[in-house]
Amino acid sequence: MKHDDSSVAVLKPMVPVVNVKGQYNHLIVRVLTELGAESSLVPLSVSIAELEEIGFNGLVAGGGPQSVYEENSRRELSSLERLFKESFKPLLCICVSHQLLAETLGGRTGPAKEPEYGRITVQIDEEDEILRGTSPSFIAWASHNDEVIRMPDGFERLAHSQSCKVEAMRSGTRPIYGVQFHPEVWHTTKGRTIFSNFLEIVVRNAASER
Amino acid sequence: MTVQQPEFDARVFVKLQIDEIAQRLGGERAIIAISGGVDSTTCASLAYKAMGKNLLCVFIDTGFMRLGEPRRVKALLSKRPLALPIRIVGAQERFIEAIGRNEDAEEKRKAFRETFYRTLSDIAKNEGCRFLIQGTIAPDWIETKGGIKTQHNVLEQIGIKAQERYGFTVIEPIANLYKDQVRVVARYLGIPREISERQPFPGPGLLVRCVGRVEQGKLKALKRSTQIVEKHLATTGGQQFFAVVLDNTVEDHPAKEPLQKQVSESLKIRSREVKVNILQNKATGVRGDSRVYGRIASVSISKKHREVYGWLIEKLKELQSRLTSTSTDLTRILYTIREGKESAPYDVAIRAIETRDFMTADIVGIPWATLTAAAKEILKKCSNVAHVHYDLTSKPPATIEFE
Repeated sequence: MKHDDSSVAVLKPMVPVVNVKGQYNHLIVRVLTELGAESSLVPLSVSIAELEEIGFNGLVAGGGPQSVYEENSRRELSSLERLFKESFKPLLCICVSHQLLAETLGGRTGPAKEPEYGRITVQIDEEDEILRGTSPSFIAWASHNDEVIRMPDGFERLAHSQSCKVEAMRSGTRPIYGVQFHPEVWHTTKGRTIFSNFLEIVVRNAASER
Repeated sequence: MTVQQPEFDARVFVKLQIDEIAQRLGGERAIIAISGGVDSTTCASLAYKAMGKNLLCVFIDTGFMRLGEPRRVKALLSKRPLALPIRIVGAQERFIEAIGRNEDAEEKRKAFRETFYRTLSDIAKNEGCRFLIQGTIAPDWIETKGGIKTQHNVLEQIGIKAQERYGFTVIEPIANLYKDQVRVVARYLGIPREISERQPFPGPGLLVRCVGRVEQGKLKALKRSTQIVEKHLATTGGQQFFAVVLDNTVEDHPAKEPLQKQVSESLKIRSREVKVNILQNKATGVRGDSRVYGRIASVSISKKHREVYGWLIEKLKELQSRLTSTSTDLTRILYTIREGKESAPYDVAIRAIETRDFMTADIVGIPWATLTAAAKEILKKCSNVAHVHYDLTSKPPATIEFE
């Protein structure tokens, strides 16, 4: 399997990972650290104030076993919802967090007609900044029972697969991105490129805030 | 804008851990259970550097080891450069008794864990050790906490108070590392290649590859098949390759017909040349971050087509992902390589995967000639095996081990 060489960034960005209790959350920390960022897992209940206190420059929210249209899951994820509404920092939402992002901002998530487990091919519709260097398609690993059925207003679709309509999307107004597949796992061939792109967005955003 | 990537630094890690172990123990004795795998050996080697003779290394023979393993491990670890003083503790009967007639994967794992720690606890008490050092790594606690499966070496992370229950405090120096990072540390410590590059072997050993109830003849077939598979796949098997033994008992299941149709459509062969069976045994899997204890399907196609598809690994991978995404309780798809005596009580499956960190895995395309050679030898040497299959399932939806 061939992997891309990625490069990052000048100042060391602080990018915590919200632990949504999925299997790969800890791997996100590993990839970010390997790419030169400072990162650690933060609890699902974390607030913007707490994140600001540790000086975060961007945030990644991982996957988890929840179903976002179920009441109990929604309650469990309520702090994360608030973060999605309030944060103006760059935000990358993976798997369940991607689905929650859609629900929170006015889109819809439901059970997938054809759930994906393991290998899929992600087809790029629009590279944007986050998927730069991944066209026209790449092999990714996914693991989900639900999927985004309708994106929130003002969101743009960036990628799809054979059985899933929204593999990647972004907000039109804020640097907020969602991906359905798992860029953090080894078998996703362009995963590091995506994190590297995200860190560049984070660094640029941090510089512009100064 | 090219900046060098910060690599994982084994030197810094080793120094930090040795200091920390020495500081936490402050001259006390500690016990460590070694399996001869890279995790426990690396951990023992770190601890030995930190505390020398105050470390008691034991190898617990659970009865679920591979043929000749206890002796081999002892020989390897006692010689230089490791020179670890190691004691073999025989506990086969205790384990067999605790597992009993349990068929359920989690029940078996929990019985194993309890017996494992009781055995260690007895030794620790006799020897006056108040600390247990163990080589738990990241995927162990991530999977146990996530409710995917009970790893035998995870206690504190899921709220089991080791001090109260077993009388020792647990220290886990490599708990935040992944397998590939442990190997970097092992190489740095000068651990022999035989161990630093050794393929992983699960803590509960062959227990988790003896699917369903443990029986004497079944375990024997598994031990022999393991040896055969390790021999034949040595150069082609990827990061991990092994045999599992299953019961040759099939179930009447409503998914059978639709699966048969899908196989025939997928591979473009007539449906009377396809036979799908749902086995009675179940296997652990993971879908959308949740544990599934699901069904195992075997796909047998007529001899005429079998070899052709046997070489077309991409086609078989596609077939697996199609079948597992439509039938929601399937966690394993097996492709039959060869049949023996239909009435024999057991089946064997060969699994070979490639991975970096064991969090996700893809199957390895083993040359068909190798698979058939291994299958032939298994059927010849184990008269109680009816079929030999090739496991087509990635992780997810499967896990690496069957239970």
